[in-house]
Amino acid sequence: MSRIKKNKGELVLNGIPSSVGYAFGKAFVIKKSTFNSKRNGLQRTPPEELQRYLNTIDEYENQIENYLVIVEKEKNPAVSILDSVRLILRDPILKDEIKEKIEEGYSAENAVELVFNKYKNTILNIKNKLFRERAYELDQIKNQIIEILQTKKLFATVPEKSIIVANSLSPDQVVFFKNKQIAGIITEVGGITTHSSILARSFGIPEVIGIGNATEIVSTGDDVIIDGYKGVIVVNPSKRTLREFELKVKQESDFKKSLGKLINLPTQTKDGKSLQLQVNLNTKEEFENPIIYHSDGLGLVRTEHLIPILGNKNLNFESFEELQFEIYNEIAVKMYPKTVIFRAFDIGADKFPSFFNFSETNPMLGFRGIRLLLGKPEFFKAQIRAFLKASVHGNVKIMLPMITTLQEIKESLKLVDECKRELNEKGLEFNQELEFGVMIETPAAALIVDSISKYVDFISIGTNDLTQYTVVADRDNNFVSKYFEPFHPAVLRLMKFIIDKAKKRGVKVGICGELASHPSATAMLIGLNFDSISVSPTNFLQVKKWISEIEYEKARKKVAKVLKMETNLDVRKYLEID
Amino acid sequence: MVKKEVEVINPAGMHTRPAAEVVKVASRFKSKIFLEVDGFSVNAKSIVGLMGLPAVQGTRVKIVAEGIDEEEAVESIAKLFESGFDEI
Repeated sequence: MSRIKKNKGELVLNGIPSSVGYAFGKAFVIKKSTFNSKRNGLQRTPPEELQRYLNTIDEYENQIENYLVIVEKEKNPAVSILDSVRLILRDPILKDEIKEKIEEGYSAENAVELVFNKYKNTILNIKNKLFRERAYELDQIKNQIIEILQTKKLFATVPEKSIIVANSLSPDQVVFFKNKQIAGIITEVGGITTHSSILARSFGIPEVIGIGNATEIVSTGDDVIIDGYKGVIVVNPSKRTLREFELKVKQESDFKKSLGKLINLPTQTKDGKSLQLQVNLNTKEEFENPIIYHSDGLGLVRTEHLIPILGNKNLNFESFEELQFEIYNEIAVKMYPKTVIFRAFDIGADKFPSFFNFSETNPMLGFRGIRLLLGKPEFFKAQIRAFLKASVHGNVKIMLPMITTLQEIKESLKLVDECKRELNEKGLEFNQELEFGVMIETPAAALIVDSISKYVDFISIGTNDLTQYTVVADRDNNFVSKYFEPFHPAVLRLMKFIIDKAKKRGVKVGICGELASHPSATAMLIGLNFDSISVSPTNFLQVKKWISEIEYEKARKKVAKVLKMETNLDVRKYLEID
Repeated sequence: MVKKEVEVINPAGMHTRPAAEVVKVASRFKSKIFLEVDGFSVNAKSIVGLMGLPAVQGTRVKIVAEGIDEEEAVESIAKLFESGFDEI
């Protein structure tokens, strides 16, 4: 039979971005081994089959031992991952069951397939998606055992800079290919939280998963581009595409060079105090800024910019929920495993959506933030459900804006529970342990933060609104803008109060706002002992550098002095802020 | 036979690494050791068995051991759960 000739034109395929980076190389396609699925019968006797199986397991274990020697030198998640592969190979119950099947007359391949699938099916019955991804891991190991049984060689011939194309890879295969200096990985199935993906990320190997039929579509030797940021691959790219790609690679490498050494180091002060430096995301465009992948996560993802879509496209809440989910999910997947904190719509005040058709004489003190959300529960719940559905990967947290009373938090939690029940009833998945937090940006919330801390997992101080509502000045109003003063002792003492009360209850405290955009203000935040600081993407690198130059112990003493000062002028003079 | 009920307290639940810890500890004992969740029972010396156990944070897990070192076996495994598998 003649094979269907492939169109050699360029082919763009969309998958899921699982490990960032760009790669270009020749494809090396790993076809799934096929074997006769009937009982093997007369070809070999059961004792011979059993010996084949035992030899294979030995060989596989030996490979893993070799990889462990390599990776143990580098502190790497690979160690515990390979260790668990070894435990699976050594599993006495699994071994016994396979042995039994072989004695019944099955070939080694069939016995492995049957027994592994039995355990895989048990795992697939678990409700929790993160747990279910283990099923892939079993599959990958099973495929590898069968591969060794069938070929006895492990792709020893794979050339350097290849792009590996496979149905899925086992963790040890990822380590193997890393040592073969491959350029990238494409798989048909898998999940961003599987061991193989964790390893690809830790090795910095660009990877795109979920390209269905990749091993059929791509042939060994094809030119392939991987865009691990977008989750796109291009098979046999045109000259033009290739030129564009080379430009992107150059931009990426220039960008990385411009970041310097600091970018790869953990965020910590000169004297070694660690904290999280995260990024605020205001618009979808900011999500294109590659700096976000070098941050410790997204400390505040604003969602207000989605509101106009609701009006423009005249959507009902249900389709708006779906649209929101797609956007939130994309952000969660691309940032995985880093934390993403989504803030519920903070509308009202200066950001009023046309479709609500409100007019207030004093919107800053009006129907805004959580008040508006609770006033439109169906609208609010649609967003909560979208957040919940995007939480399935385990890295999403949600946060509520403009809290002034404890009742608002209790009512919101009730709605969250309702949404969870609804999703459970529909059999839809989400992270049952999703963390829930609130913004502390009003003096009312600040002063009851010990009560609030009983109900939330984390809080985040919003400096702009906290300042405005404390000093009673609108920063956009020229007549009073000089009163808008984040260094007013009242604001600083309020922040100190919030942090102390929340930490006493074991609640993590973050800050998002513009306060960190000055070196000595940053030092003050460090001295106040925030767990995380979230800044705009453009300020990220500068702030990271400042933090690395700050000494926590000194900053703490400075803060103690600042908190005793009586005027903002004293504070500014002492901190040398103009 | 010795039984003890424990709770999964680490936030990530009994994912692969904690399961591996359980297998390693259980394998040191001669007794037969089983973990039970909602009437579903698996051999504690089998990692693939444990991988099928839906033990998220908050799940109650019954440890059951039978054999010459059953007491010590149950206590050792209970300790792993109580320490949150060193993840908290």
